[in-house]
Amino acid sequence: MLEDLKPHDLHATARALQVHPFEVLRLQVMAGAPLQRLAYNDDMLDQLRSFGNMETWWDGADSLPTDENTRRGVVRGMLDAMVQREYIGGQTTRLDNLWRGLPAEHTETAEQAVMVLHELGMVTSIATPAGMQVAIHPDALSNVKDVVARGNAPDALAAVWSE
Amino acid sequence: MSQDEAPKTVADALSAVQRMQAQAAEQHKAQLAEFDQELERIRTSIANLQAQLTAVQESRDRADQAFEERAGGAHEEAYHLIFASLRRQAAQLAERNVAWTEAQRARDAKLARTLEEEGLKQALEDFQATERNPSVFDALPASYRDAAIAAHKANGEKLKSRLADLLQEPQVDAPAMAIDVVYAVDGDEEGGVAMLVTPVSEEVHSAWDGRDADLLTEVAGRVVQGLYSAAKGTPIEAGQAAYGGHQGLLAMEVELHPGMAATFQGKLADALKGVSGQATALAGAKVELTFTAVDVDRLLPPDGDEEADDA
Repeated sequence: MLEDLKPHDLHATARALQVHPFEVLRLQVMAGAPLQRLAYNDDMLDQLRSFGNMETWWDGADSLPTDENTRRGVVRGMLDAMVQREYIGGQTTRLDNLWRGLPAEHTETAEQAVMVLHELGMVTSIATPAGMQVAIHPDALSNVKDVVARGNAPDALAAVWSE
Repeated sequence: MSQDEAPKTVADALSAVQRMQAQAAEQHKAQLAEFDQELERIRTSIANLQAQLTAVQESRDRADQAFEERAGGAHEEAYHLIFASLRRQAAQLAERNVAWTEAQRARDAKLARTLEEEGLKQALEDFQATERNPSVFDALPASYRDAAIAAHKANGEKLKSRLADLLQEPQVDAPAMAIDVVYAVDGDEEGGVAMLVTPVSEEVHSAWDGRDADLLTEVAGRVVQGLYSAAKGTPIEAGQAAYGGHQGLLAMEVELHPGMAATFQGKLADALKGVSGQATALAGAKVELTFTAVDVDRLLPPDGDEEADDA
């Protein structure tokens, strides 16, 4: 019971938000939250989650689309989630929303894919005080949908799931 | 010339003219010889002065080179001394962390006892049960329901207030200790960088998931918050700091926009002091952070010392 009543420490907060503890500290400053203690109650967690535009799209690996290539399934699922939520052009989402809720091994695949997608110009990014934001480039929407539907991807992106 | 003094013959006249010309030529030759001697003396003097000039210039260059070599040695010595001092403080901080952790455990044990002694445990359980199942109020008569809900909320505030008192940061029974954090801000009209080194293990960042949030986390966290507080409202507020280890110590770095280094150093100093000054855990652990600005070169390993950066 006592543990329920104590505020969360920095590491517990980071685990709850699924970000690095130093990102919690950064958000705490940028959101104008109190800095006296590195202790966080539920209201403060909500404040940081809201300021950081954090969303959880995944509930473990089982929530990904079925694909005989698991890594391709991660990329297809991630892009599909962006399309469904209409994170296109000026409508951006926090970068780590793309994999929040996925197991660590899939997170790595997702991060690699986003880097390649960015290099290919299919995904745009912008740094903000709330964190890195990304969106699908409007001109690449049909290509992205093709990846989602059929796994047809430029060689550089296909390499992410072929490695 | 009188007629008596005039040459007797033309031949005598021509002979006299020839003698005068020969005499003038002799005089001219002697005069030129004197000039040539003077020129030679001056040339010799110039050559001597040139030799002196060369000798003095060479002495100057040797003195300058010796100074540069001494300065380079001083830079290397400063770098090693700074990091030796930080590692020493890291060890001291690790010891204080043990005391701090024990103080926190003692506080939590006292909290559990106090909850029992003051009958708060049951009150808390009842409160939490009602919070989980607010429909219990639905069964009450409407006239009584609002008063019961208000009493429940008042009870909750009272309990939270008492718990907040009991959860205050503990105080360690140890003397106050000063811990250094060093930083450097360097830049010009083309860009710049702010670097900070803390006396805590870089594992506080790189291996956080395998360790508890402790006093080292608190120290590192305050430096991170100070850095971002300084960045807030400036052109770099959307930027992310880079973290890594240097000689095993946590170091962080943020890129500055062109022309902002001059003002950022003051902002950083104020922010670091402000954030650490309000940290109740540091006060409880009796740790005072002191922030020292150094030349950026003193945080960089000397040439050839490539083992230092373990980021």
